[in-house]
Amino acid sequence: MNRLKYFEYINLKIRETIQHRPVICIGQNIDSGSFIGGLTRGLEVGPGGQIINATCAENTLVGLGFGIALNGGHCVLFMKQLDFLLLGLDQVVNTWNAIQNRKPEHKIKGSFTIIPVVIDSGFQGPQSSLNSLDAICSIGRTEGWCLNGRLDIDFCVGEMLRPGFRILALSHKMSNTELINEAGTLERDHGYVRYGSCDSPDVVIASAGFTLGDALKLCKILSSHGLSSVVVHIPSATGSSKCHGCEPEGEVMKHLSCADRLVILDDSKAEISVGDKLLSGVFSEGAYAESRVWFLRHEARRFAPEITLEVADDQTGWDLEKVAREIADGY
Amino acid sequence: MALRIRIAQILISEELRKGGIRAPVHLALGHEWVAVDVVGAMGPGDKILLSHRNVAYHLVKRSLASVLHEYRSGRFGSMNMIDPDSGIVYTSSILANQFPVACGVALSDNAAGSGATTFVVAGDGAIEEGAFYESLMFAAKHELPIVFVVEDNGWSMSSPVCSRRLDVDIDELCFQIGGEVCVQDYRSRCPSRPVFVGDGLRFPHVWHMKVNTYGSKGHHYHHGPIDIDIDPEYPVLCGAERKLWSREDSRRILNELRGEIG
Repeated sequence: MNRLKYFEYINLKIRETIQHRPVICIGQNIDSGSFIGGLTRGLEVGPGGQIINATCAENTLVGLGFGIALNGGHCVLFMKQLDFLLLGLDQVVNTWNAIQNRKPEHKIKGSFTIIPVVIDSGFQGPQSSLNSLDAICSIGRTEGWCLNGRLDIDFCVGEMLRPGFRILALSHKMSNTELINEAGTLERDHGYVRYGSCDSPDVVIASAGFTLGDALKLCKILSSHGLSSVVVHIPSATGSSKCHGCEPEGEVMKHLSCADRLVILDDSKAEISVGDKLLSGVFSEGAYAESRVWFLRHEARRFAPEITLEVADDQTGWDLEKVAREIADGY
Repeated sequence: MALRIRIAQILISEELRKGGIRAPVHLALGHEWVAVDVVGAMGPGDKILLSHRNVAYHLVKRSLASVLHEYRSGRFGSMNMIDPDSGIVYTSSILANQFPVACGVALSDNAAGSGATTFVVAGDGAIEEGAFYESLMFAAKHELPIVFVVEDNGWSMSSPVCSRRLDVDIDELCFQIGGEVCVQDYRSRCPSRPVFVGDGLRFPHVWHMKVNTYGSKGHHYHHGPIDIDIDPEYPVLCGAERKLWSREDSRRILNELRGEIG
């Protein structure tokens, strides 16, 4: 299990979840070619299900998924790039609005899950590099999750046939890397995962988007500097979930009552991201007055001087050693 | 039935004038026969997905009182009004948005082997949207049991379609993509020949329904109170209707409907 790669493990979990179930899987090249980097290789569904190699018609594919769910069925739509979903935004926003506002007796019993790959490697140029799942989920008032490690993958993929609609996004950058399989605690009801020391940590690390790997790496580097840390990983693309009632702010604030240093990692390029919301929450609670805050982003922002901003290059990422030294030195 | 729907729409318009309805209402004067024929072609278990101009279909399926109640109090207003129990499973206020959703419903029924047919209705303006082609292509490839109903009144978005685009041969276009096309011309003959599903034709079907539309000052019947001079006691709009409908029937239905809604 430890040696499985990120896409391999997600493929395994998807296959486990849909086999023997009447699921309609659809997407471009999901049963041929590279199988989206192996993501869709070997899919099998139960009676009443289908695997469909679809046309290049994203608006229709998204609407199709809603139609299937509306009719009580289950649909999983795979997309090679999150960018493609922009062509289906009418359906994500308008159709989902119409469906989720139905009377209780007409609520849908089927499910629709979109599984897109976020092209976050940094080599694709200004197009084909949309990394704003949170913005898409916000405009569609949609549940969305960024799959990082084994615990959140198990949690999200395991529930993808639950009635309703959701987007489960994968990182292209992580596709061929080893699965993050660290021991942690999944707070199922609150939709976050906790890693590391909970007992009076020196540093609280909050990770959003596809930053769990960096957060755990920072945790280890800090340990080498003699600092203990807890990682609160927030896989929800909006920082909240109507179904699971995410409370990551509460968890972060709880640990900040002991720690005096907070690091937020967020690789989203949205104007308002989960990290921004978390920072805002910390501000509103007044905790930042007694804490030092490091915000690791991919886009520059103007913040109060108490907040140290580290902007990553798309291709190289953050200099975590430098950040750890600053934290250790009380910069 | 078509006369009843015509009169019911006039009473809805009266309610609009009185301020009893705040939701936008898109009347369909002249489209009544299409709704009667399409609903008449539906079998048990069949489903229908509609556009914002859905009033005639709702009035075939349900009472005027229940439609007015939804207009006045429903959270969906008029443009997203549904009635799943009667088969109206989805309506869209977004042009052509319902085509892909309908394909999903049809695909799901097909996969489950239910034998049901899905009907999806839109105006001729909606065929300008890419979703129409995408959906028809998908439906043709997978031979989905679906009927695309195009209500062609020559108007779209408050202007004649010829003022905005080239004249498209809808029938040839749909045939080339893979749809079995059936043309019904309601402009000179009411009712048209009844429409049947199946008859050995392969799916998907495209029913091209040519209708006259009625209004003055452009396309005002589209939205809000009608402003043409129409007699609620005998609301005929063309000679063909005058031959079919009597003043006596019209007055009787008007009184019945007024009694129904108080």
